Amino acid sequence: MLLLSIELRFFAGTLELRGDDADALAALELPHCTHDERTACLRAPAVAYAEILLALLRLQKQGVVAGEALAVVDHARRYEELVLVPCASPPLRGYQSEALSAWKQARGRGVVVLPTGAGKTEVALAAIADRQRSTLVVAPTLDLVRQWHQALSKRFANDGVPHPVGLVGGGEHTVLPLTVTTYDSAWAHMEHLGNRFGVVVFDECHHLVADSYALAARLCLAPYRLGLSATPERPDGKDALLDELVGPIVARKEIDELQQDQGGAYLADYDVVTVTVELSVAERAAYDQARATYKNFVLDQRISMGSPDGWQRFLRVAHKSSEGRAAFAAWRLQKRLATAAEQKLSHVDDILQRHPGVRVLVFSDDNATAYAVSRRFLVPVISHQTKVKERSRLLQAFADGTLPVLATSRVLNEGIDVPDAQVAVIVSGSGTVREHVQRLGRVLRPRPGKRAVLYELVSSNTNETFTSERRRDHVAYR
Amino acid sequence: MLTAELVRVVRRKGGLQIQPLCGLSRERAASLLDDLLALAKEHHGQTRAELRTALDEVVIDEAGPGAWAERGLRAAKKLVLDRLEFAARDDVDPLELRVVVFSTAAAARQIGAFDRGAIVSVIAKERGLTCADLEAALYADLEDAHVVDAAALPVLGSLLVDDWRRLEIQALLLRATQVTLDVDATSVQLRRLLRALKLHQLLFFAVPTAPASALRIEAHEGAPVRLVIDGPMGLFSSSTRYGLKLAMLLPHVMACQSFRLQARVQLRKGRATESFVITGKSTGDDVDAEPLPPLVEGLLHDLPALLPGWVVSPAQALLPLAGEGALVPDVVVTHADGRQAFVEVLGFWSRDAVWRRVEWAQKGLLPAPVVFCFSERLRVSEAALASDGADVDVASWATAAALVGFKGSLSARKVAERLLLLLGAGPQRETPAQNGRVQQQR
Repeated sequence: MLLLSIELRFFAGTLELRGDDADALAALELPHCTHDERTACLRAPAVAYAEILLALLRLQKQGVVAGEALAVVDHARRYEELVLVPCASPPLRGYQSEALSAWKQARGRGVVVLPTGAGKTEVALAAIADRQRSTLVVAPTLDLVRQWHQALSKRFANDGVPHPVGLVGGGEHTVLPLTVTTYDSAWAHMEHLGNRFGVVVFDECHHLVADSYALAARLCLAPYRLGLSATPERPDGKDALLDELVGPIVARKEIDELQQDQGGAYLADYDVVTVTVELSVAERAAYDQARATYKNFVLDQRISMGSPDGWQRFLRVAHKSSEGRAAFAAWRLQKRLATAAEQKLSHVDDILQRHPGVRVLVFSDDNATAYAVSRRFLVPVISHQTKVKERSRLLQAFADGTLPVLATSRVLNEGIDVPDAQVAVIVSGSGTVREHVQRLGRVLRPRPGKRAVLYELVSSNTNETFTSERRRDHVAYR
Repeated sequence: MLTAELVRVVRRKGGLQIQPLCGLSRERAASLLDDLLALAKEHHGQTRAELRTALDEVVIDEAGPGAWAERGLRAAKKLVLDRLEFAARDDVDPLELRVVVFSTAAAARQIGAFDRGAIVSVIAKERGLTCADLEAALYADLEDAHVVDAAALPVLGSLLVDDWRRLEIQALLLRATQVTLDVDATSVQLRRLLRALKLHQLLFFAVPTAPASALRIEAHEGAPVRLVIDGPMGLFSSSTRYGLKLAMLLPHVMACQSFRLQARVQLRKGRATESFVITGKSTGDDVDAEPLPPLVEGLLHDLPALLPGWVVSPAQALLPLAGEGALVPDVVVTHADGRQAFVEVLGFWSRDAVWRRVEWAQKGLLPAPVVFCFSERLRVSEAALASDGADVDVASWATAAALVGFKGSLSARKVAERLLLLLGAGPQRETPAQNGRVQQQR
């Protein structure tokens, strides 16, 4: 019996397959492989590694391929098998165990969807301990990278000595069997690091589908992939790509399910209170006028703002004439009047008085409103302009209760571990469900006797009513 | 600096051409700038946010030619804003003030005694400030709160019009994938141009079109030289910072006796590149010579002590590479016996640039020993040009060049060691002045 020998190599984020008989190799019709004339080999994206290997193993099991035995030499994989002993790991909650089992059943590929505060990190740490392979964790921000670094080194510590964990990004480049990196750095370095890890964890994996980040996932051969998100769906529909890059959604729990489970032990009970705010007479007059200017222009130009390209068309047309520019200015004005109505700040005042000593997060859509809240109520603000040192100090003061109220725009939506908060005030926000669910998640970490409240301030008879309806289109708000 | 979106570009004769000043007439542009300069001066001492609001209210008259007039206005506003200085007030530390104000307010709220006016008033009094001063100082470190300093603004808009036209060309260079520059320059002009290229660590190689005269910059008088420069959009990851540095080269180009600049420009990501050509003769402006790059200054300072018996000086030679252009080194070390070796500091922009040099060494194209210094951020191994345990071929090119990686500061000791190794281990090589023969032998 003849022997067909196949060699797999990793090169710049791709797999190269060479056989001693090129024709016989091509005849195997391995998945995702195409002939590369430049190097006279079969080439496939690294993400296909597991699928290709499985196909080869199947052929091997069959014993004979076209009269030839099959030998596979795998030079591609350079990740290690580890001995990771988790220490001080709390027992997994029921839904976390279910998520882990579902992920394992899906051959270690898939997305786990859990609300903010429900312990996605615990599921990932358990998955890493289960696979015992070199692992890369990819997170969207340096804050999260630091948190993962800490969680990994603590969880797999040996006799109290933190487990060494590598860091790629933020000026660091240390690659170890357990490594944490940002999406940006993963994209920049995956062509070289793509064969060094058997497990890759994508935190907040809804970011992964952006073109460059998706490339990072494709250049990595890790057969085990875990995506974590509270809100994987995207308005642009690109979340479908997660199937290819990570795997299907294997486990999902929504806020309401966890909140009902175990009588609030997993997530705090909560109320959502929508407060309707009236515009002042002057604001109303200005709003109506601006709205009419904008609407008339849109009607004249026959632009349907409800259509998928309506907004783009409006922008294109608006900048071609003075009427268009006036319509665009009017659109901005009516939006500002609705989202930053004077009366909203009076309601914030009432809420702060109603919850003395309680940790409150005040969210807005824009920085100007966040700073207005800060000045009016003499509370700190965290925005993208806040320096890292000040931000850490403010979060620490928020955690220990010395500064129990924080104003913010979108910075605290995700990517920063916000200590326990009980009240969220949405002064303004976008129409996306994801943002609204994430903001709610910020106040749901459970504590005995805790009942969280999310206040949503909506200017009546304005476009904000519609925005509010759109963002509440989620089971957590029904 | 303007961005490409603020430049009016038309396609003509298969290439891109700029419609100067977004199509506004010179007089119209000057009068627009006059108005904006006056407005900026009125806001001297006020905050950036106040100036920005005032600028937002300036609209171009309705008789203007539509969208491009609007962009012209935006470009003019940017031009004026870029000429202003902004300063944060330094009499109060906003960070410390916020700690005090917010802590006091939180403590008061905790016991149900929150009175905003009283808190502001007490803290202001303690610090000898008025309440208004304290309110202004609370976020004085934010950009919008910075104070406008219009003292250095020119009086007349017409004085900014030429700047505007130059900035339009520079804006297109921000979108270039590659720039080919043919210059006819005196030795002084060429030296300044090359020094600017080096200072900004731009990735380039030279093609001397008249080999004999182009070998030494001192000997160079008017012979044309071609420089091929990587553009910011041609790098693995497009870099705004690199683009700005490329743009800063333009005044040195325009100061040459005559020049032809051809850029491959990608106006939008994902679009095909298009050709953009400008030609010109010296504007007569005397451009100040750029200083040497700090890393090169450091080598010139430290190497003499580490290389006794060798003269260390800034390199004045283009090193021709047979059929591959020419290398422009930064430092030359010369022995009394005529032996020479060079150092080129490459910086941190592109791995490809390092690999290109490795390839030159491997092909035996280097006419003299060269040490290439590059940032470790590029993650190229020094071993790529090491001879340890190498075969005969490798050993031969390993004597022609060496790599030195650096992180932050460049070690002159390491460079000196490599130079000595190259000079000691390699055969005696011709100097660039003798180089014509070396080229013929190849």
